[in-house]
Amino acid sequence: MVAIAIDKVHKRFGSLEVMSDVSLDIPSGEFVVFVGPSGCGKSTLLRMIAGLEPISEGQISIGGRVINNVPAAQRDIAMVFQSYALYPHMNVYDNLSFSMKIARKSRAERDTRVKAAAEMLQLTPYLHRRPRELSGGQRQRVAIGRAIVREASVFLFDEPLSNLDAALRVATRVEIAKLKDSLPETTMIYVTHDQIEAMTLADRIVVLNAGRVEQVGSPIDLYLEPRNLFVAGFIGSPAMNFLPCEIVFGPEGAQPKTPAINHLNTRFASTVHSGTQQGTLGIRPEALRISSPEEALFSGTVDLVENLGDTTIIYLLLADGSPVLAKLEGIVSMQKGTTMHVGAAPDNIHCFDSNGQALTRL
Amino acid sequence: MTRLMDLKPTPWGTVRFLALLTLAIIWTYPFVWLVSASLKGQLEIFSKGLNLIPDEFLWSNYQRAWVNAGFSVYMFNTVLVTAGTVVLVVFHTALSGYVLGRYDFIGRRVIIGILAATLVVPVGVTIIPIVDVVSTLGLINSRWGIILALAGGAQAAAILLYAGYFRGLPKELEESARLDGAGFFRIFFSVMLPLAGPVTATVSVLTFLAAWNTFLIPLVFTFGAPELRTLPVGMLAFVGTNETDWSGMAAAATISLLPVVVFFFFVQRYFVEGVAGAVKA
Repeated sequence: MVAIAIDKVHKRFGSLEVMSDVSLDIPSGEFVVFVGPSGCGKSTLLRMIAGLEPISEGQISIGGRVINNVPAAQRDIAMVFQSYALYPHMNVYDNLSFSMKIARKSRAERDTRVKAAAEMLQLTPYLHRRPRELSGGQRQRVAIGRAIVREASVFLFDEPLSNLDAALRVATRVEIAKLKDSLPETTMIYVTHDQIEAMTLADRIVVLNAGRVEQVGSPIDLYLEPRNLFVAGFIGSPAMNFLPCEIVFGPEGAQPKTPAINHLNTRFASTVHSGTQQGTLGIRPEALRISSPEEALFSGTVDLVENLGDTTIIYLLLADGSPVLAKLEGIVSMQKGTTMHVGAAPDNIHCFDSNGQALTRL
Repeated sequence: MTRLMDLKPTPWGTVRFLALLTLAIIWTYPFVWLVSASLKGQLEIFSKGLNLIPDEFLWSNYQRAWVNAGFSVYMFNTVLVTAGTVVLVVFHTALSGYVLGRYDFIGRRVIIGILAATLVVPVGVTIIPIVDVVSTLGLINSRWGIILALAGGAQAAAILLYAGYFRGLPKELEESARLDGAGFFRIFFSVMLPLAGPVTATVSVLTFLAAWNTFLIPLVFTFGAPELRTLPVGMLAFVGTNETDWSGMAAAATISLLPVVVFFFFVQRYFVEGVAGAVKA
C-alpha cells in the first residue's frame, strides 16, 4: 500500500522555482532517504509533506487522502528536527507528553506511552530533567521519543544527526536503524546530506539536485548503476573519478576512447547508430587496483598518499594532468613522484554521454 | 572569607572603593533622611537639618498615616491597581510583541515606527483623551478605570522588548508545537510565553514601579471617589491650606516606598538580566 504519494509537486518562493515536477510513491513501512547537496530542495520537500510549507502546485497524499490543505497536526505524521526543537522549559516527561495533552489523552494513557517510549530509548532515568541538563545524544533521543509517543504512521527526520559529534552520530544512526526495525509498519522519510547515513539507513534513496529528482533506487543500485553524472559523483566516498573521453557509436555499441587509458575493452549500448560525441568515463576510486604495466588501464605519478590504516588513498596525476584517486585496501607504501600502474574490472567502468546520462554496459 | 582577607587592596582599588562608597552615601542619604524624618517631630525635622538621629522615636507618625490618613485603604487600592496593571500589561504587550516579532505582515514596520514614536509622548498630553475614553466606558470613578488607563497605553518599550526576544527564538519550536497539534494561543501560552520569562520579569518590574508610583492618572480618576485613592495621591492629604504635616507625610512616604524596595530587592536579578538580554537581542 502506498503511504505517501507525491504527484507533480512544484514549490515556488515568489518567482523562484525551487522544486519542479517532483513525483514519488512511498510504500507503507518503507525507510526513504532524501539526499542531495545543500539547497537541492530536500528539506523543502519534507516540510511540504509535514505541512510546514505550502505546496505551490501538484498534490501530496498520505494514506490515500490528499493533504495539501490539511493542517500539519492532522496529517498523522511526526517530525524530528535538526535542532531537536525540544521545549526548553519543560522536562523530558512533559516534552514527550505535550502532544497527547493537547489531544486530551487520559493521564493514564499518557503515562503508559511516555514510559514505553522512554524505556525504548533508555530515557527513563532522565524523565524529570530539562533539555539543558541532557547531552546532545540524549536530546536527540527525546526528540525521537516525541515522535514515537504520537504513534503516527509517518515519521519525518530533518537532518537529525547533523548537530552531533562524529562518535554520537554513528551511535544514534544505529539507534535509528533499530527503531525502524521495531516499528516495521511506520513509514519513515529521512533527509540528510550525509551519504553514509543515506546508504546505511535507507530502503530506497531519492537523490535530489536543484529541485529535481535525479534518481530513486536502493543504495546498492545507486552505487552500482548511477543513472547520470550527478548521482555518480554524489554517491560514494571518495567521489567517482571522471575522465573526459570521446564516445564512438557504431552498430556494435558505443566505445569510449581516451588517450589517458590504454586498454579499454568495455562496450556500452549505443543510443545513436553512428558518429562520435564527447562524454565522460567514470571509475570509482575503490574499483582501482595496482596492476602490471601491461594490464594497466592507465599509469600516473603519485602526488599524495593518505594512509587511513584500513585503507590508503593515493592521489595520482595522469600524463595529461587529470587527477585520479585510488582507494586501496590496507597500508600501501608508495613514494610521492613514483609511477603507479592501475587497472579495474570492466564491470566497474561507467560511461556518460554528452548530456551526462549513463550508457548501459554491454 | 579567607579569600577576601587574602586580597590585598591596591591603591587604585582603594580609590575606587572610596569613590563608590561616597556615591552610595549621596544616593541613599535622601531615603535615609526620609525614614529619619518619619520618626521626628514636626519642628525637629527642620531644626535638626541633616542630622539623622531623632530626639525621640515618634512611632505615632506611622499610626497617624496608616489609620487617620487612610493609608491602609490607599495601600489596598495601590496593590489592586498595580497587580491589575501588571497582569494586563504583560498579557497585551507579550501578545503584541509576539505577533510583531514572529509574523511578517504588511505594515509591520509602520506599526513598530508608530509604537516607537509614542515613547516620546508625555502622559500629561494624553490625559484628556484617556479620561474621555474611560468615562465613555463608564469606568471613571473605579479601580478598573485606573487599571485600564495605566495598562491600555501603547507600552511601546515592553512591546519592543518582547518583539526583540520572540524574534530571536528558533522557529522550529513553533513548528514542533504546530505538529503536536497546538494552535496559535496554545503555542503562545504553553511554549513561547514561558520562554520569555526574563522579559516578563523585566516588564513586570518596570510596570510595577511605574504603576505603584504613578500620580497623575489616579489623581484625575479619583477626584470624585477619595476612597479609591492610591498611595501617591493619598500623600496630598497631608498638605493642608495653612500647614503641612511633614512628619506624617514622611511616614506615609516610607510606608509607600517599603514594598517597592523589598520587591526590587528580590527581583533585581531578573531586572538586570532582562534588560541586558533585550539589548543583546
